Amino acid sequence: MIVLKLQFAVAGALLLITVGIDAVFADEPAPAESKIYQPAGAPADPKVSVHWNRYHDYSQSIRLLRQLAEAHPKICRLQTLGKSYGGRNMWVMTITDPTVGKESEKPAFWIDGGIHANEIQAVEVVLYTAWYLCESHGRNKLIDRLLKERTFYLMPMMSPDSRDAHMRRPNTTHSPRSGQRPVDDDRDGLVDEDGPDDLDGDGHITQMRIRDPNGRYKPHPDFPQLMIRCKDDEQGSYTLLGSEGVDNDDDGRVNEDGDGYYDPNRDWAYHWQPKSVQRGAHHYPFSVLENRMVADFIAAHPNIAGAQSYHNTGGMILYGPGVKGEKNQPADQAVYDAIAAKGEMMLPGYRKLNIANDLYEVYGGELDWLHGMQGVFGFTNELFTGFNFFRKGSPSREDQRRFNRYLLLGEGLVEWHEVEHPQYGKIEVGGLKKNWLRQPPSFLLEEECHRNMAFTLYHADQMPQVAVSDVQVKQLGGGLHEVTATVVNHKLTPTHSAHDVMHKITRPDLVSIAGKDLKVITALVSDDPLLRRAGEQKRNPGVVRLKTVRGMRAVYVRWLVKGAGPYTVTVNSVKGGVGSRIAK
Amino acid sequence: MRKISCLLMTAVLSIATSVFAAEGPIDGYADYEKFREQVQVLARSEWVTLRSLATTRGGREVYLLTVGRGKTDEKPAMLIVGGVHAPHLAGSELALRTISQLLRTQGTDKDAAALLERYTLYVIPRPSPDAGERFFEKPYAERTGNLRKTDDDRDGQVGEDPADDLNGDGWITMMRIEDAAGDYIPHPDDPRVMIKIDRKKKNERGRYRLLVEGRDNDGDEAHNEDGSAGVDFNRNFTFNYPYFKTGAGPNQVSEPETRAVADFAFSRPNIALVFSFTPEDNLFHVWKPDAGSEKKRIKTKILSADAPYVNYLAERYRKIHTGKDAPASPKGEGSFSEWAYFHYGRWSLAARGWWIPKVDPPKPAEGEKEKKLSDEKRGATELNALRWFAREKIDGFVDWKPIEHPDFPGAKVEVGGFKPLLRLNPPAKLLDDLAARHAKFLAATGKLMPVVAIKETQVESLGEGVFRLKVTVTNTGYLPTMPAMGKVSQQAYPLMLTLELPKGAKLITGTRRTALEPIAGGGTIEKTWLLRLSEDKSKNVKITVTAPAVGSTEKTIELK
Repeated sequence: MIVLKLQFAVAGALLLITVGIDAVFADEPAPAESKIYQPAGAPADPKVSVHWNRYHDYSQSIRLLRQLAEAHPKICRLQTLGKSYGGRNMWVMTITDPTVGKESEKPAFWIDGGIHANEIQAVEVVLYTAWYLCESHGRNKLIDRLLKERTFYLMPMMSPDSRDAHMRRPNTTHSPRSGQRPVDDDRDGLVDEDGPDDLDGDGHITQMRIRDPNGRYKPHPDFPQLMIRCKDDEQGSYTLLGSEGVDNDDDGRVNEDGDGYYDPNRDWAYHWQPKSVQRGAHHYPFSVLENRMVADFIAAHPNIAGAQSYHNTGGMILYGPGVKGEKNQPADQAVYDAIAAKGEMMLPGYRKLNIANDLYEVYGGELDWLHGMQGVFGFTNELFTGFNFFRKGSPSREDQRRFNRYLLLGEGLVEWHEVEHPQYGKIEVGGLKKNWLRQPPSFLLEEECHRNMAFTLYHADQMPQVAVSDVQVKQLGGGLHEVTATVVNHKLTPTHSAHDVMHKITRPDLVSIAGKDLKVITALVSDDPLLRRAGEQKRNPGVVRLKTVRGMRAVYVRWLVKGAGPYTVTVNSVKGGVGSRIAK
Repeated sequence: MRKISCLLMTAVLSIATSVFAAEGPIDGYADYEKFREQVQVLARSEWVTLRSLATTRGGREVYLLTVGRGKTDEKPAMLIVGGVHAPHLAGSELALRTISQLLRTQGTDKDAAALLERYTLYVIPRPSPDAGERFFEKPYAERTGNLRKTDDDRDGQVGEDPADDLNGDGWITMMRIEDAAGDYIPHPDDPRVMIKIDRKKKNERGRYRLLVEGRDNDGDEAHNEDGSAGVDFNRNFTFNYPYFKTGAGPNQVSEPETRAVADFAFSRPNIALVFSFTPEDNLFHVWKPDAGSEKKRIKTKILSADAPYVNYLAERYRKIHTGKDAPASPKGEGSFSEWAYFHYGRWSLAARGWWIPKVDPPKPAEGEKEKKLSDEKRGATELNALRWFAREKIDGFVDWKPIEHPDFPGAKVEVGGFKPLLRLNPPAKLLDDLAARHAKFLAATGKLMPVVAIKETQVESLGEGVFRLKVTVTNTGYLPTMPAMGKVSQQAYPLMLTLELPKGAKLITGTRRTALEPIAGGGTIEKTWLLRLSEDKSKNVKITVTAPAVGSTEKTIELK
């Protein structure tokens, strides 16, 4: 049946073979030409066809990026920042409409995923965003405008070696968080010598238990795979032995020195602290090779004004600072609040939270560096939330098992089964597989990608955008003119965060006036349309330096000049783009 | 054979000494080319291996000399770093000369011989050679940074307003502008010295503004605020890092020089102690512990468990050095020597090495009346420096002379003041004696390092091939096997005790490999195992105790 239908579609010819089929289709109009029904959402007939209900490993991701770059050469470019410790390229895709403005002069948005490689859907969201931007160009007016106004830099895989390690080697949903450069975690002279061991060879690191009539654990009455603590007066049946593993180096400890360990998101330079203070910190900021390439790239692109980093899990829209006692400047916090509030609306089950005060303290996190040393507003989304199991509340451990039973049809678990442990003898292993819990299952992945992308595009649209909206010229007599320009930023985000202004991170916005035989006498600057409170810029008044142009506000610049028009007023902002206007 | 090579080496090393001479603000200091020759000459010694850890932006090498014999990376080591604060080029000279001194004397001095036999010395005499070379750059100034282009006032323009040698004398000194709103007055006993007024406590009125010699090149009403100073090796480390400040760089350990040194240090777990030549001295002004801050997550004071050891070492240092009235240590933000203790977790000793000694005011000549001096305390260091210059016949001060200054039309502006570098670095003739003292101190410190030994083994047969084995490990040295900060920082490697068991033997309790807690000097630690031997096999158990920064010991015993 399906085969026959395909024949109709491909050949478009009616050649009915059997009487039975003849009878079935007798009343239907002939299908002249197959037409795609376009659902709301992503293009149904993209140039590059992708299944968004599956996960891509390193080479599949790269193939997809290459296909996109080939199919959309006018708007997208692929480059590598260098090679990871394991020799994988660190690919960055640049997407922008080059027919309008220069890539480096447009406000740019940075998107990265998978700095914690086990958090695998983070990469999918970035890939989806790249795909969606490319495929929607020319179809969706908002995307067309965004690509004209902004440059997007997308780094799908911040830790590509460990992504492949997660997918190919035995792991849990929580591993590996580290990169793959070997570290002697226990400083015993042996390196990465005692990681977890996949005792049953099923590719998942689960839990170990041993039958023990004096143990304090027992199977859950409804979900026997789940181990629970006995009541105070109840006899148990098992002792738990921790994660699947053996003491590989005979030091009495199990799994104490596995691959890595350093946490790539404790490696960024602002509020950095060593591992005695911050677990996972490596030697010094950007001593993690892959991060250094990214930091160098971002620092070399000061037009980056907004950023999004994808992680999992828990349904959070996180903003800095990551360190207690530090606080965002009120004006900056207002920006975070406004954007994150939209996110809460767009991402059901997600909450906006401050890292330090609402989650936990993080020294050397990426967001703190972006905001603290690069003047970039950034969010970290902790993708996926148990809310999605049954679209309500926060799920219990029983709800997880229920979701496994009724929606995963039991595929999310390894049932307890016996293995021979070289040190413990006969034990049992079993537990959750590595491929869900933190990650959405196939049928929830695409939605996760789309909603998060939509939030990020909203943020990207709200990056600053400067323009000269008006220039008024007044004759003062004696060849003297008063030229008043209105410089606006019709977006939510200022051209400089208050923190940026305080530490002079990004150079001031420059508003300049040019004209034939023009002599600029002086310049006045004010936030007030009537210039009732104005400051004077004595030095080099032809190029006025603005500390910032606030979001949804204007700055008024007035020059006293000698020389007739036309006057060209130009605004040039590192993070807010460029604009100009000519007045006679 | 040994004797011959020692003689040869003495010859080689005296060549090394003879090339110590260079043009510059102080005679006898080695510029990079001379330094490179010296390093290469030293590297001819059978004790020395030379390699470069990095090449700088200026194309210069960050040299590492590994001094020692045998498998140097497997022996406990000291890391000696000079020139940490680049204008303190004496630090670079002292690092190199100290090593030369040790190599020269190890044939006759048994402490020096023992130090070199037992320890590896990793020596980085000039970690930031581009910055070091700026010592020789005219006009002379105390430049700390490397050649990275930096925008010091963060205004979007790079290096648009450096200091300027207004009087063309080749030195960046100071300028004083006569101004009743200024904060400075001349010292009552010597008007060359400017002292800062105290309006509130003393109701003083100023006479001068004091600025570094230069023009406001970019017309921003600030003087000399952006000379594109580069990145200071000694402000680029992670401890107490001075974000956004001049010399700090874009972030911690951002430079080829700092990264090379940090990467090298992290790759050498055998380093037990770091000795820096730097003005942030902690031997005359020891770090003090603080009970309150000790409880905090971020440690900013030396741990009280470590302080007595450092104090003892510092006391020994002061005796050997014999200096007095050492000037206060500058505040170290992002400094190397503090990093070495707080973040790298090693014993960290820092020596300024030299300072201007105290010189009494000259006695009046016969028949002359004693000049009555004020009791002014301010400017005492400066007055002393001027007396010392006079005694040593060093031209270290530029007398104030008026100039025309375009930024201060109509005002009286004078240029003058102390010449840079001369108060920080001694005349070269003093360096060898200072180096000898530092060599002596290092050799003495070699005798205080931890030494691990197996003090006692007890074997008790319980019958049927079952034995109880007890091993007592001791530290016969003075220092503990790691500083308390080594454990807190999780950087120092613990002692590992390993049992090599006969074939077929099984441990009933305990593990084959056991990490030991740190052992204080004179302290012991005991471990017990139960094991069972299979019959007709060897009954020898080999016990090894080792840590890279402490060394190894082993013992084989028979179970019977």
